Amino acid sequence: MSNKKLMIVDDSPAIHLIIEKAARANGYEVCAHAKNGDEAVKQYKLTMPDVITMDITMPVKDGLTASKEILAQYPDAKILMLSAMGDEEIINEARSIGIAHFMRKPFKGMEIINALNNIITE
Amino acid sequence: MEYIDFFKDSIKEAFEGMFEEIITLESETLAPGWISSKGVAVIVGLTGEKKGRVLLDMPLNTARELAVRLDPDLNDEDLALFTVAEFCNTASGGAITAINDKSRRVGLRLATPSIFTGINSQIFSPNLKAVLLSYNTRLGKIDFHIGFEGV
Repeated sequence: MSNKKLMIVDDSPAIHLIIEKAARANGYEVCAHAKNGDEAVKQYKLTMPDVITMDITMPVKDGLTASKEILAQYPDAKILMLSAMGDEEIINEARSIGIAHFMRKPFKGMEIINALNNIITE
Repeated sequence: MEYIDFFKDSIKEAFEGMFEEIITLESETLAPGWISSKGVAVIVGLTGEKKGRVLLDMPLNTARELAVRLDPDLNDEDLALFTVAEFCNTASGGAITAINDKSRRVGLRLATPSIFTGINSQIFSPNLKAVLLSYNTRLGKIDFHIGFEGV
């Protein structure tokens, strides 16, 4: 089976490193890194990842706006939303734009991998 | 301050969840207007019905130790700074999530963190009433200054 392609979207290089290490060790290819939502939309079109980890609070363009733009063009895009925030209003907003998978920070690398595996096999 | 217990809970959860270390609250006092940094300061703005900010302050060595504790590859100064910014963001996010769930009208949101370095750098926050939470950890002392306008 070929490696699944992952795009990591977060404004923290520390989060990129942690997710990438766990992903590579578990059979994922990290095909793109983006540090804000604007880069994420552009990188998605260029690399067509199988799944995305998406932060919410980022400069330039936040993760909810970027996800909305990606899902408008690619309704089958698979997105795991990662955020320090997870109040009812944010979760409802994420659901309203078609994001079904949400994980609160802090997280461990393997928790991300398990969530990504579940999203990909759905 | 009305919301401070949410921050205490979230700081402990974020620290222990990220670094698998114990963090102990040593004191809770009114914060001074002027802050003289221990070396690394992270400021996360809070917006919404109420406005405020969370300021995390610690020595650079503590930031480096924490980063390596999170992942051994986070071993340079820049990554250490981003790691403590992520800690501040996670702790703040957890607290305002709980506040928002308790009182929806508050509608707090996080701004992206700003990072400052330099021992004894002076930081002044006018028009804020802030609480200083001083913590002890095995890796060094950590202060959180949490303030809201007009609270």
